[in-house]
Amino acid sequence: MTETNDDEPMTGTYAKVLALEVLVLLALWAAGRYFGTA
Amino acid sequence: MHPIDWAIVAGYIAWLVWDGVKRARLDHTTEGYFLANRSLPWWAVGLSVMATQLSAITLVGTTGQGYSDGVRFLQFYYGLPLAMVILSLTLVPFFYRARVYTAYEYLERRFDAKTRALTSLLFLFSRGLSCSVIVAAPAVVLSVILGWNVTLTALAICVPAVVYTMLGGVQAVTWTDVKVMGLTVFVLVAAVAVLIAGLPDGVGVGSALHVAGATGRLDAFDFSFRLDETYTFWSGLLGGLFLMLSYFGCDQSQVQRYLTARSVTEARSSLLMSAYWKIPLQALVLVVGVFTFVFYVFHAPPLLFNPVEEARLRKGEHAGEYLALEREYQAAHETRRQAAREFLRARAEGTAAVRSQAAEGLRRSEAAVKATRAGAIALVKRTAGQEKYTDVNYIFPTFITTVMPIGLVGLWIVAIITAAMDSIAAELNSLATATVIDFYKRHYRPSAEETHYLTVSKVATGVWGVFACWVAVYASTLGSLIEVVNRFGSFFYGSILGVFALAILARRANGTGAFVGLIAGMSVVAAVAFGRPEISFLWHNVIGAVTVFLVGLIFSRLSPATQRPSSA
Repeated sequence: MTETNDDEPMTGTYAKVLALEVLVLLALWAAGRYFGTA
Repeated sequence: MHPIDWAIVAGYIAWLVWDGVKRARLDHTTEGYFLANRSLPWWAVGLSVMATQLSAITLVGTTGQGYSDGVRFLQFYYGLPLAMVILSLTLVPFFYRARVYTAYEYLERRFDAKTRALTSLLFLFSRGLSCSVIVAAPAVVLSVILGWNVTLTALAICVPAVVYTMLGGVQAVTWTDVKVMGLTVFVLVAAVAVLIAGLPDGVGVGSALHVAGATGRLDAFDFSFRLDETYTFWSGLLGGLFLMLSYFGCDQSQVQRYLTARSVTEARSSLLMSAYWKIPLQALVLVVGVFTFVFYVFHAPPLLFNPVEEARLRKGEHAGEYLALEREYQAAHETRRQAAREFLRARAEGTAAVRSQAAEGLRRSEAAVKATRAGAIALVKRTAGQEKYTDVNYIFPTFITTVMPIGLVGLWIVAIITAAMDSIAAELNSLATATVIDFYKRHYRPSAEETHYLTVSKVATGVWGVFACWVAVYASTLGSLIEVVNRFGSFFYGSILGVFALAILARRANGTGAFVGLIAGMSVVAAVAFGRPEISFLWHNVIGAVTVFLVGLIFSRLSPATQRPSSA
């Protein structure tokens, strides 16, 4: 049994996850607009 | 297939099975067999979570969707990162601290035995079926490509997975997942490289993406709020959020992955790996399909990608009709190829008006190609009596066997096989856990020796494996496999999520309320699914969860208070 009881607050990580998702979606939207426009 | 490819397939599978089986010595208890004694590092668990979800269906069906519809399917995952954050804050610490083996065990502590039994039973039913579909996908592909019997193909996939899962338990499942994820990313990147290398002179990556974009294949957003459209921004964000919350939070096949982590923090980190990487990985899979489309804009594609159906039509009584369609298709393809060339020339040299006109010409020629192909597919449906026939799942496998170089063919075939193997392995492992912990140990033999439970667990894994193979033979005749899997799940997912939401969010909720709510949720979803089939299945998750929560609250107020204190 190597379990530890650590339970670190991960608020910063959650914020990073959500911010990154917004960036990824914006990049996808921009790529769609750029390549989809003749 | 070339002997080198066969050697790669056989060697890789043999290595996976050998490595999995040797992990049998690590398991002497059910906690070791099912949860690896909660000792695995977050990155291995995270890769296992992703590998469990990424099955052969993803490699076969999603690349085909990329070819046909572009990256639209990506919207399905827009709710995933938010779902992972919510789960990391809520259910993950609840499960981990409650030290449960199954998610449903927690429901008995919070509500009662019947709610646990019903949710676990629903899991066994839906996952048992989806497990079979996961085997059927590569079984269909390989039977078509290699001319194998579907039953033998399903067995060739199932037997190695059952062997290493039975003997090696969750340790074998997790470390196999790690290897398979590495292989999967490698073959996807290699496929993009082969596709780019296969573009004609003067057509670079940018030009290829412009051709894809002009035909609408890079539209990753549909902001229309239509309940009858499966993949829109809103259905992905809301319906997808509920689906992902339920799948990663209440489905034992995923919950069991992160219960093997060393700590709550590592369990959370393993889930957040998907939050970071799932959308980019899925985009990569779809981009492979999109590049396959562009490849076939410049190289003649077959009218039907399924060689068996193609051969049947070519030789049968409808040969004349098929050959006429094929001639029409060749002409339409040539027109599209020239339109694509013209479009790229206009992009380089023309004015805005000329570019726009050239893009319109490309879209028109693409519509003509699609219409002819639709005619051939309709011919298959009519003559073979397969109303749900779709050619989508054969597109990329045909590309693999006809275009890819020796060596990469073997790697792709083994990636498809092992993607199916690792997904069913995780599911067999979790099906056995729910069977043994929620039913056998809970209701039949509550106090037996650990060795007895370990033996029963291995037998349960084997029995589920045999069941999965048996049903897979029937599932192989279904339509677009990726949607079939999601449809199976969506009948129960939302409702089960509603029960867990009641358990955590509603302190006044009791067992009777949860149980009645669950029945009501499933009934409403079934009524919507059959009564209003035009409503996309992603919305079933929202409908089910909300119904369970509301009905559960009302019945909890009406029924006598039998609420138990939460143990978490």
